Amino acid sequence: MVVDPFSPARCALSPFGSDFGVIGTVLAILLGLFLAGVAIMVLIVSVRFVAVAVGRIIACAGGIVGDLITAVVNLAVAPFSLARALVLLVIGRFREADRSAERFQSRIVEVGMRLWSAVVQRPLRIAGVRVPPRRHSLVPAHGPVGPGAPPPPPLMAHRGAATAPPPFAASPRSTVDPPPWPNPAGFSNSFPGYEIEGRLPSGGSGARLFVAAPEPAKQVLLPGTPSRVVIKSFAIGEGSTLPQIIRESRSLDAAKSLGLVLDHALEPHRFWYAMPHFVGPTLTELVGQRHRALGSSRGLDSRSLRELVSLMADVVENLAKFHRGGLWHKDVKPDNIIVSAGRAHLIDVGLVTPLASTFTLTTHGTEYFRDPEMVRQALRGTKVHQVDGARFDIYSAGAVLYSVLENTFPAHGALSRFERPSPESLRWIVRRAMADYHRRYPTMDEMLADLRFVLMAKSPDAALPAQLPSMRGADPASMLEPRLELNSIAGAAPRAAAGAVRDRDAGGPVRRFASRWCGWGGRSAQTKGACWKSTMWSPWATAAVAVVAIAVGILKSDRGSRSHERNSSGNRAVVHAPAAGESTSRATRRRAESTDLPEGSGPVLVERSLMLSNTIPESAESAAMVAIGKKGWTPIVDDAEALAALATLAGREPEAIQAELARRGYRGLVRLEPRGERVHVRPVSFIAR
Amino acid sequence: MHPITTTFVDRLRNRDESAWFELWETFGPVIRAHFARWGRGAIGPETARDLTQETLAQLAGAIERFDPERGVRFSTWLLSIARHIFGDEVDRRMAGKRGGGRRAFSLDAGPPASSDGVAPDDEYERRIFRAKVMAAIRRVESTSDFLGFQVWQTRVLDGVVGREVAERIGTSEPTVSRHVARIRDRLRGELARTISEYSFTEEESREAERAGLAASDSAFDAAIAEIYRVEAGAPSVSPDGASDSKAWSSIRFPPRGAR
Repeated sequence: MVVDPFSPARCALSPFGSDFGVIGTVLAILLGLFLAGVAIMVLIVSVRFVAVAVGRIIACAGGIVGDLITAVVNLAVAPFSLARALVLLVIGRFREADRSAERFQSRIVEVGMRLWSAVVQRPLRIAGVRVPPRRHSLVPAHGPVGPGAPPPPPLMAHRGAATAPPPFAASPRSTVDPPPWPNPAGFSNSFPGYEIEGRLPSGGSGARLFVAAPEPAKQVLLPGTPSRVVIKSFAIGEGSTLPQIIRESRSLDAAKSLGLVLDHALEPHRFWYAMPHFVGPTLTELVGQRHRALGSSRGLDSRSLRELVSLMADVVENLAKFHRGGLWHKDVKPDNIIVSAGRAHLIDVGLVTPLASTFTLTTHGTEYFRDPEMVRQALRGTKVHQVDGARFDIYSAGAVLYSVLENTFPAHGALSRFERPSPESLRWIVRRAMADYHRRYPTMDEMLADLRFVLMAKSPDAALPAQLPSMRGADPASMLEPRLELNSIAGAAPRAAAGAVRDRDAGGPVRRFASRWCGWGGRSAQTKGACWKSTMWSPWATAAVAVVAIAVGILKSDRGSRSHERNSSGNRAVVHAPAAGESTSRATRRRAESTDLPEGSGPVLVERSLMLSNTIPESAESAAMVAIGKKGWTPIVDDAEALAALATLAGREPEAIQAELARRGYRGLVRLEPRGERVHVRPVSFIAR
Repeated sequence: MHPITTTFVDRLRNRDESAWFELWETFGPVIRAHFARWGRGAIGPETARDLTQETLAQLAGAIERFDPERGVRFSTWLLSIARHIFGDEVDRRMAGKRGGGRRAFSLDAGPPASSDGVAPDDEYERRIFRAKVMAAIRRVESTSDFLGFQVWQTRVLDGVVGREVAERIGTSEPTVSRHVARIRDRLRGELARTISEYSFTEEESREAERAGLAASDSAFDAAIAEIYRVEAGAPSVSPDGASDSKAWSSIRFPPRGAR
């Protein structure tokens, strides 16, 4: 087809006409994109708004229901306390009458607080208005939070308000009445995203502790969307030191992965982190109450014993999680265990240490709950990774169990005498946990298996030491994972018992129901017998676990062979992390034998979690510095900031530190940068060959 | 003097921290208890512990001067240092009160006698001896297999009859007897070693004999059980409760050779 160059149609495509058309089209497209962007933004904002609103409404509704139930229960029980107080008053038992009256008062106060929360606080929170809680246990913080506010009364929150029992009464942590807090700098009690509601007694570290409510925008970002957190703050201007800050920050990433720390920030003059907030008595207080209720020398009744041993199992289970995550707590004691909602929670992560840390062991801890062997090793200058820190926690857990049974501390370690009646099997567990470093439970799982065996027994006294899984040489997993088989094979009562174990994680009504009907204070012999039978299914559990273990072993060996292939393929290397249950020293030996990071860079396959001294590198910002030695690698510090801090501490230039490394025979420094499941090895400064 | 004694003093002189910790672990509770008793309730557990630390720090400064050949008991020497520390503490406290400057407590007179009529020094020496026995038991515990030691502990220290022990651990009575005999033999040896290590005079070395520890097996077991019953009973001090590196590690030793 021939087109006439002068036709009108051709003129419309003239240079000018064509430009306008193109410009118009481009503008139209841009406008369209802009409008689409705006629409998407509006949509996102709307969706977020709706999500937040729905979340708040659901949280509010749930909270109101919870508040009302608590209020009704307290209201229903309060008259009984009053009646009891009156009866005791009439018969002349004034002290007990006073206690009952106090209980009545606290129930009425609780009713008022719950109603206030249900009617005012929670509905207003939907609109984003946060009304300060009417809790007598919390006080407004000084300074910017509550200018002109009167000095706070003695505070006992977070750790409960009950009086400590006589043997523990001297503990400064349970009777702290903090002085007014000077705030010269004015910066340390305001945390972005948090509203301070009160403060708590400072611990032994000297850090400031605050109770804070996350603002809605922050709350949705925190794991578990907690309504309150505890903030621990270290400020240089307020007595905290750089080494202290470094020590506290060392295991932060790992602690976050375990849910112990929710949020943290390192600022020019201070370092702080937020932890979950638990309200309730400490184990010290609870144990004291239970012992006092029965007299000083009668020991615990079966119900109290079941309750407290169950809490101990919680503690041991938590510690097992620590150890699996590559950490040890280092300060396990009754004052650091809070009982909230029927479960025991370990608090105070200030001394939490990575099992594979290359720092020198310190003697920090609490006397009588701290393994003397740890002190000996620390005095010899032993490095943390040269010992198995988990065993020191096991000692402490044994000491805590001793204090549960005796209501006092083990003054003579493993040789401490039992003065009060208690089941032989539990005494055995205490002694096994506090035995010599090489002879105690090798892992928390074994101790947990023994405790659970006693918990599931018909009666605590019926469980003999010879029957404990650790004595029978049973696989602890058969006691840790009994529910699969029990649920599918056994009858209703064993199912309830298994459910009790399973639902310990949730702490729900099933657990309470099952423990009530199958526990030591159980109602019927038939049910007790069924519960006892449930432990007889352990061979099935053992068999099932063995099958799973074999399968996992096959898979692992497959992975291992692939790792070896990578290792032998030139500039690729494998870094092994300690396997679960493996002793650190053994892992260190294996690592030294198997690791060879070549000069230059290359991908490194990370098996499980790579514990480099202190932290799992989760992002490029937290990349780890590693010194390559003649025999494997040695982690130096967490990150660049820590390296700078190390230089500051040593009063030397970073170059001088690098020279020191060279003097000690290290080949150089590399930086490990995470890339998903792989880690990129980048040389930072190679010093010498 | 036993060669081990020389070795131990040498370790102390060489600032071997594990030797000092051993001393602290073994005799610290005895000294603490004595401070608490001398204080008659006027000093709390914290102060008692501070004074104990001070005693060991002073001991560290004076260890160079200690001559075991002079026949002075190590425990007596330790007590004399503790007395001086206690006297200084009393002086410090009185200095801030009315009548300050006057000595309110005569060290020559010694601490008051105990209620049972036994002279304080005798009671102190008995405590020191029990501390040595407990140290020996701890050493046996750390070097024995768990099961064997537990059998011995349950049978001898807790006083449970052999048949019941056998039932509890799911074994036979002869096995229990074998475990008990084995641990007893080890304890006898360890006891001799520990007493030699912490004793500097012949008299101290013969203490074991006097306490019935050189007698027949049953008498030996009874004597050990009695010492354990007295020593490992209710705690004498409250726990610290604080998260700390205090106690041992806060002791500041003077440099070697300081006078």
